[in-house]
Amino acid sequence: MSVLGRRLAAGWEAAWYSPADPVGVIAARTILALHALWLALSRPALPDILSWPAELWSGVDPWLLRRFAILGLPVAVEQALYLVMIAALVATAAGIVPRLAGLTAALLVYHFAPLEDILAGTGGPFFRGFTLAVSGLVVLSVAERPRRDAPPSPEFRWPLVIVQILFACTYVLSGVSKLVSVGPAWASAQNFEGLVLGMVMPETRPVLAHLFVDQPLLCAAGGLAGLAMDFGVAAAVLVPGAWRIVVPAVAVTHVLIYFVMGVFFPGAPLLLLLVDWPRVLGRSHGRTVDAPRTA
Amino acid sequence: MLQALRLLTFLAFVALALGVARSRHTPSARRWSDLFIGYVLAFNLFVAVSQTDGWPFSPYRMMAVDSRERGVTRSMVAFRVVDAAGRECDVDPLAWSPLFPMAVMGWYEVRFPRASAAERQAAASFLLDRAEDARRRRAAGERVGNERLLGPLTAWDVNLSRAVHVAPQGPLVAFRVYRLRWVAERLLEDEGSVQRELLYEHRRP
Repeated sequence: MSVLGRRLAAGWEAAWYSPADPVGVIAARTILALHALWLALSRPALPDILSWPAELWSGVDPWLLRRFAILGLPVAVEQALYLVMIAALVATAAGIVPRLAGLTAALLVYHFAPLEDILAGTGGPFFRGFTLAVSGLVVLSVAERPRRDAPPSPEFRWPLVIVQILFACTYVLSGVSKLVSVGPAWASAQNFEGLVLGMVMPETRPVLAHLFVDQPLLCAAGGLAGLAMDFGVAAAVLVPGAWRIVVPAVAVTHVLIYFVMGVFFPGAPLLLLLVDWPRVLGRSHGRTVDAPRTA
Repeated sequence: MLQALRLLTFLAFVALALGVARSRHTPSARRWSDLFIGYVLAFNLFVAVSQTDGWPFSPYRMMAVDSRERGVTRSMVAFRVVDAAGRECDVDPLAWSPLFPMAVMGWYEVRFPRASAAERQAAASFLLDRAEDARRRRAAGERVGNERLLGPLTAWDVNLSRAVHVAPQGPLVAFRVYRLRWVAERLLEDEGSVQRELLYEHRRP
């Protein structure tokens, strides 16, 4: 193997397989499950859409239905499955048969989440909050079962890093999309003002939108802050300790976005996935220092 | 067919995950987890570069639009109901739960133009019934739709919904769909600058 190859292999090993405290995976699993549970209980009648008049369903691509396993089961069966999903999320959050419960929940969320916009949309429910519950819970359901008293292990590192990367992708890829679609001009004052104006509608008006009209400096700051938020989240995954700045900064930005643009991010509570929970709970130092001493 | 390919990518994701689970504590465990990690990274890269949907992997194209043009005329559909007294009123934003009004607007934007007369009537009749049910529940002091279980802790929709400014006083008799057109810069100064065109009206027989 060349020097470069050895360095890449060592970097890969350090990034994915350096031993980590089990609490990180336990926290991620709990946060993902509780968040999905909050959304599921906020849409208690989601399966009922399947009983809506056929006329409302007539334009939906049959392959889109097959893709999400919407196969014409009786609505009562779908309602029962929704209850199974909720029970599985509760079990996952509580750590009761978490791997089986997590996988069950993930597959059922995959089935139900698209109902939120399937009548008019063509794809998944990208911004309605359920996305990470599907991919993240699949990842965590096949990871080593974490126990609080288990020693640090590579098996508690890579699943957590994947989940954090998947979450960071919701921001970073959004930033990439902006640059691909518009280029650096996306962050210009003119474009940002246009985006704010686009959210000023006859039926709804974000309460602080008017403050940005004809305010180039404020709009330029808004545009730069938007891209900084999208790409800054990556720092919380890549740079140890950066979450202390990134998480509160992004949370505040979400609040500002709501008041300026009227856009609510149901996935915002998942910022908690970026927190270094073992350190917050005072475990990571103890674990890594103790382990060699007792070996 | 594209949807079938997207399904296959999700099934591949789950299959690789199950491969990781099955290989645990075997010599091939690290190879499987490497493969799984590689798939997740590569597929995210693919959706980002191709800007295509692969839900639950997505390019997250939110706000990825060029909005530099000024004075643009924008449009949307809007809903109103008519009560027994003939007053035009707002629809309860939770009337069509679990869908929020924006999702129903999407149906009117995308499907309605191609829908037959019978389909339009069936859709409007259903939405009017749901609006009436929500009105009755509100009048009885009950929680409506998505707020039924969690009340004020319910997760909001991504977009704002029009609040009820004019509440119906009695049973609903008609459902109206309007096309609204406006220029945002003018709207900020003059609420009356909105042009309103009746797209569809459904009255109870």
